[in-house]
Amino acid sequence: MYKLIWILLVTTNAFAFDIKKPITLDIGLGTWLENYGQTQATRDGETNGFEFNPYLSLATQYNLYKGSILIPEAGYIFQRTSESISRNQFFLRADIAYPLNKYLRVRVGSSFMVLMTSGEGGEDTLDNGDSTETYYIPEERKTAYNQTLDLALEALVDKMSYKLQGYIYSFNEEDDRMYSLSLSINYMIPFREIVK
Amino acid sequence: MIKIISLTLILVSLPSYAFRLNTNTGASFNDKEVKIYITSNSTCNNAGISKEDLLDIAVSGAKKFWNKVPTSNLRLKRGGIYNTSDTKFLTEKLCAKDDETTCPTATSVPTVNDIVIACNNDTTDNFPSNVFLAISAPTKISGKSIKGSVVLINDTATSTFGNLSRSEMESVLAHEIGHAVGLGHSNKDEALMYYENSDSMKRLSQDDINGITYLYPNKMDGCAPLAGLFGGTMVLKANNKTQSNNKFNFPLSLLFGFIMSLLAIFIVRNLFLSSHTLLRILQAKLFPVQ
Repeated sequence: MYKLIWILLVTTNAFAFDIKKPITLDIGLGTWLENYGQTQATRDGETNGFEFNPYLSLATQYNLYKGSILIPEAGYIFQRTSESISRNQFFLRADIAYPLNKYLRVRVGSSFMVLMTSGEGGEDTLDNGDSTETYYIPEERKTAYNQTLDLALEALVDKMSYKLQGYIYSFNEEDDRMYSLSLSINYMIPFREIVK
Repeated sequence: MIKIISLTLILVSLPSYAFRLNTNTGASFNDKEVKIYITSNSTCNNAGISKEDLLDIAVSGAKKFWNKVPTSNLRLKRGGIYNTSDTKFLTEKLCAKDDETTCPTATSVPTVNDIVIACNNDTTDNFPSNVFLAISAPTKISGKSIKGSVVLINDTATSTFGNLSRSEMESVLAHEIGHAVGLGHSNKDEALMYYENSDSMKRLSQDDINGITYLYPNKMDGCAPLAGLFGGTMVLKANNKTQSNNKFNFPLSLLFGFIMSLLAIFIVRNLFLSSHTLLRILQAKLFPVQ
């Protein structure tokens, strides 16, 4: 019953916005900083820092209410892999952007992250104490789904935007809360130029 | 833009994922909440630690490392004392038993459910030298399901386990628990699942995270994405590992559902046919102009 009420409430609220044609189509390119500063990177205890893990995204912008903009986005994070295991990650997300001034805006949103891990199977011999042991390479594809809370600061210069975005995993659980970051450049093509 | 994309693909970093599995079937616990016990007859005299402290450190290590991965739904919890008088836990060989392996019952550590720790003094098979601080393996496997695993602490006369700092004990036990839940060794020396322990091991490496995510991938509630798309039924259950009535669960889910419902409306109203266009098409079909 509660679910039904909230479906109605949320959907009704959504319809309250006067949404028309998209303003722009955005092509984004950036780097994905997974679990930035939160994983062990060296044997000495250093944590992971800046890495270049490119991602591509496609977004559109829609005027919402009093200057705020809704930005649905889809993206793919390149995960080059080796040693028989590969990962694929993509996301569907949406932000609501609030302009601070002509050049800056903040964005709040949420992402639906899909992370697929697969391997080609087989065996591997690795060190174990003073001898070696046989271990196994994954041979299935498994998919993890996560929902994140996202916050971003974006600078706008002409048709370009420069965005720093944070993705908070397990926002509602302190124990396993982690975050990833992305730095991106977006090229915004006015929609009227696309559909002349 | 094409140049930038090309350059990106050329410059792309090459992270390598090296985790390996402990079983050829890629077995994992079916129940995502796995409890950790210690046998009541473990004295751990040579290991230099009480069984209560050992359990505390094991649970602490499990929480510090494996319970902190948001892309994995594995949750390790304290089980308590595993009441047994079976001395085979303390003296016999650890035998990883699955559908294809038969372990001699009389000379093997007994099978258990969940994860059970014991202090063991077998120098023939388990601890031929003090290089081994602890060993672990699933001892009860059915197909792709681990039913139970045993972690044995080196309790032989030459054991150096007791010389470790508490932090090192946590990482050693977390490493063994990694084996217990299905992970093998990694060839990444920064990984918890690397074969050597380190006193600087404070957190999981990305490779460990990838491994545990593979074995225990986080699953959002069944049709959550679709439900969110059609109006936010994410509201009441954001994901299946959240069983608590956390106060943040509701607003986050509401926000997600709200945004997704907005998205759905945009798709319907802008990317596909508008209602006016649809009506015009229907009108033209149903009432063609004569």
